[in-house]
Amino acid sequence: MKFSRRWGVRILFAVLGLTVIFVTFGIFVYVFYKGSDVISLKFLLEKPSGLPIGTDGGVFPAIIGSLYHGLLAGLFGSLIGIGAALYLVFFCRSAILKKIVQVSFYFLAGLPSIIFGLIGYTVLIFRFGLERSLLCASVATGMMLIPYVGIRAQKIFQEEGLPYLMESQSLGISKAYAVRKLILPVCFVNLLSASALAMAYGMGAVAPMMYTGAVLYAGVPEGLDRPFMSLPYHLYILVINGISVEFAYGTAFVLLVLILLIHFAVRGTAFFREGGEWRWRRLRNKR
Amino acid sequence: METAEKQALAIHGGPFNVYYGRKQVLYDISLSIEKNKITSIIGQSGCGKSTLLKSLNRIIEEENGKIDGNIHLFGKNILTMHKEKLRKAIGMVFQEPIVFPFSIEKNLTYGLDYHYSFNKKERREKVRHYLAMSGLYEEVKGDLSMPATHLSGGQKQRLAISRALSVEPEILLLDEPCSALDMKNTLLIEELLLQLKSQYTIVIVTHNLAQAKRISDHVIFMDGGRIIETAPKEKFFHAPEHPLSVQYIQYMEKS
Repeated sequence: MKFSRRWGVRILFAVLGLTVIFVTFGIFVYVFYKGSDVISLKFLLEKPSGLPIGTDGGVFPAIIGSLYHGLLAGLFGSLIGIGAALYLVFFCRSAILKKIVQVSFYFLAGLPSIIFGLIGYTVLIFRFGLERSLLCASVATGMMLIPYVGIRAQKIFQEEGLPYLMESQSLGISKAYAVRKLILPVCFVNLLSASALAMAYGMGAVAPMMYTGAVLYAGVPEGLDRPFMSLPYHLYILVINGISVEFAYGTAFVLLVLILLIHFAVRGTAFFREGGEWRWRRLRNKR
Repeated sequence: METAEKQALAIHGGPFNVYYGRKQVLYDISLSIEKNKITSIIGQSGCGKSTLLKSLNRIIEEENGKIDGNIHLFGKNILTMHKEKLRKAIGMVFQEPIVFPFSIEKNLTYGLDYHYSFNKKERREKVRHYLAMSGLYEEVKGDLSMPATHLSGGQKQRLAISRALSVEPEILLLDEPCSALDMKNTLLIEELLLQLKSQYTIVIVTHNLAQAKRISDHVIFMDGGRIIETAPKEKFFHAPEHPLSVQYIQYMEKS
């Protein structure tokens, strides 16, 4: 390859790499800069107030609502996604069935998020007669997260779990025991990381929750059957109705901080694991 | 076969064929593995040595392989045996020393806890015993809670052998256990296998002719998915019968 072409390729990829860094940091820095003006204890700990609603007060119910919603949706999506991935990688013997589940994963991953909202609304609220609630919104968002977690979990099991399976089977140990005692502990941190990413992704998805449970104004959700406030939906309302761009940036600030905290919590958990074991358990055994 | 002769055999089988999907990979295999001896399976790369080894504990079925015929373990047809029971009786150590990403102790208790229910003290004693059998205990006794992934390649392979022994098999299959090790560790493993043969029947796949000469009692030579010659070590290396065996020995000794 010619010298100039080689350098051209290098520079092109360097620029593309730097663009990713610039976009990521750019978004965070810009949102933090614009949102920091309205951040105060009052903003974090009070309900929204003023007329129209949201021009004063804070976002506390939306913070709690978002956390509940993200957690429930993440749990729902992760349980099904990880379960399906486990089945595909370790138990499914039929190549055709494997292909069908895999194609379903990719098909589901490609569906626009508003479709999940629409299906959630039609099935849960219109068909089953449930109220718009935290549960309905979490189920609708959770459906969207199934392929998000499932595809990642499949990769994790194939790369980190599968190499140990045959070793385990050669000891006369059943697959089910190996999955429970070996594969899941070994893959725990990465599965947790995939679930946390899903939770963060679900927390920020407005479309599935807007038909199924998120509302303009509510208190801290007192049960799964109650409608709830959510940070991204609150942000959407603040902007679309021209209520307050400053408060919208403040809300985005809080949402990004929550997402960052989730990531740090997962990283923190990873620090306490070594291989398939908790560090403290190993230290306790050492004593 | 006479009864007394049969009793001296840990595995006898055949003829059997092995397939991966529709492709046949082993043809008309008949073999006898003697109790408390080391049998080496040798041959060119791709001749079916590892496939044969994996057929003996049916681990090949986990790779979608299929065995057609008869193989007997102490007189019982392995194809009708429960896979878990069979694999407990026929332990296996693979080419790459893979340790579970747990502590050294947990690598051994993993299998023990599945098959037995020992109390804490008995478990510790078993762990010490099986680590001592592979000669690893003296090197790691200070910290059994150390992650097994921190061990050297040779130590990992000896841990894998200890782990295989921990479920108390009668036969130990080893698939090129020294191919990733240096000379010092290779000799350590060979010495260990020579010690273990009084208690276990050992079948080892090796591409190292010198190793087969050093440790085996019997040799199985394979080519193109078939067993070409089976003989006691001395006979195979000094007076091989089949022209392919002669050619292989000459080639390997030259290279």
